[in-house]
Amino acid sequence: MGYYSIKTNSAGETRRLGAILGGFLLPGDCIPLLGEMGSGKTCFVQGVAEGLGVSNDTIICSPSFTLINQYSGRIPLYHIDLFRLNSCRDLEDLEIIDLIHGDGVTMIEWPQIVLPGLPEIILRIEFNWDMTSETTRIISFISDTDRFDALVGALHD
Amino acid sequence: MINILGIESSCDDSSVAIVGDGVNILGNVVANQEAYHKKYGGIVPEIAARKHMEHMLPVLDHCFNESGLTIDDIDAIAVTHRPGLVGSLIVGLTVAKTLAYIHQKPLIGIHHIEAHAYAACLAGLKYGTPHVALVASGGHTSLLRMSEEGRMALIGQTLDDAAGEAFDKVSKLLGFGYPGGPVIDRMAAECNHTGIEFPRPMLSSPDFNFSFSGLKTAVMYHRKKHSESSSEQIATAFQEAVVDVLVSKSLQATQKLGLNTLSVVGGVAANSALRRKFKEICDKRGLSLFIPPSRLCTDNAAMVAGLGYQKYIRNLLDPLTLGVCSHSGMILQKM
Ligand SMILES: Nc1ncnc2c1ncn2[C@@H]1O[C@H](COP(=O)(O)OP(=O)(O)OP(=O)(O)O)[C@@H](O)[C@H]1O
Ligand SMILES: [Mg+2]
Repeated sequence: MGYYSIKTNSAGETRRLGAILGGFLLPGDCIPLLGEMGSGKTCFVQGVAEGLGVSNDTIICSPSFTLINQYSGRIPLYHIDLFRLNSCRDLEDLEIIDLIHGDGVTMIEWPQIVLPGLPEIILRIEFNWDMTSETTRIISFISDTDRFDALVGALHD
Repeated sequence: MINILGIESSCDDSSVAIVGDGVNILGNVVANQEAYHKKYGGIVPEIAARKHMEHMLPVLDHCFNESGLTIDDIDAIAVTHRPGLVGSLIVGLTVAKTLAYIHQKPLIGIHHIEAHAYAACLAGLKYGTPHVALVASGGHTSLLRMSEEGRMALIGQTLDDAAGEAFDKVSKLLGFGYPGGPVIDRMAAECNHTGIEFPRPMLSSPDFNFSFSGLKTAVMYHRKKHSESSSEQIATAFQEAVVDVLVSKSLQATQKLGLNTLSVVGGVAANSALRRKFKEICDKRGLSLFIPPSRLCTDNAAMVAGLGYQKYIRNLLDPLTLGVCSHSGMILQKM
């Protein structure tokens, strides 16, 4: 698939993108989310949760403090945030590896320190600011597999 | 006097306390891991759990020394078992269970958020007084309705970032480092004019929920667009916005529920501007306000032991099979 980039003009649009992706995810998918503070990673995961069928009245908060938040949808969603970590001597201590190989979808904010230790990444997403307006973000999907060709089609519409 | 030993290890700090009859703090020792976290820029959970293991027994000894009591003087052991970092919670729970088993003492599992709210009772609030509690820390921003029997209901919470998290993140954005709360508090105390007005998110929403993620964006954007504003001014204006929202929402909830008592607890309640503003407004409106001293607002075991007493005298005990749980299990009540 390669590379696909899209511009969103509001938090709602970013959530809708997330919801579309949520519909394409399978157990065992692990997706690192890269981007500066406030670039919309958590906002996007709120949409993914919706797309995975997590109940509407479940609040998807930032996991920066709790590190891992877990939700049950069509398949489980593990929302991880490693913001408060900047060294990780042993990935296994976080028990993240167990989650990634497990039955759910793992979305990781601030994944830099675990990236080298992650299994093959089927998709990663980058969030960038577009300084033309406070509510514009450029969201890029990067994948080496063709599993997400259909996703790109769906995002286009 | 009934003495309860309290143990807390849900997040950064290892703490042990002994409290008599729910209010007399006989010992309260907190080993703060801030030094480690400063070095590593945040929490490293593996280190946090290991540090809890290193600290817990010396802190326990220290607490017994401080109180002049021995384990024979203890009637029951209360321990935080949810919510928090699992690896950290397990350390405290294991120590508590071991002591309970060896010395044949009852075990009481404590909910960390309920313990924070109980801190107001260590500052003069009578247990069981119906009131609204604002719990604001790095990991939580919740409004609770506390009712007669000591039951609590979640009536509002953050939809994204917690208030304390916003302080830490904005502090990092502005280059002040971790933890952000104390730095921004100090900075703001010296800055009397900012000329900046950040948005007050959710202020006019009909519910009691909060949203702080937009403030990061506002701060970031302001910094890029207005190079004339100093970091001190931005930090101050940011704090004003957070304080304004926390105070206004808490008062709205108190009014809507027809209550006249309010408590403010959790690490963010150590913020001096927040304390001042709450006091000013509650004085004006004739509301009773309870804000514990800072050392009882941040994580500590005295609040755990104190609440443990209330459970103990109501015979609300737990078996030695008690486990830990990462999430709070509280469901937002529709108002
Ligand atoms: N087009 C947009 N897409 C996403 N968020 C937007 C957009 N426009 C504005 N926003 C706002 O930007 C903020 C994004 O914050 P969010 O917490 O999702 O970022 P984050 O990348 O998770 O940050 P952090 O690194 O702190 O975890 C939200 O307040 C959101 O409402
Ligand atoms: Mg986030």
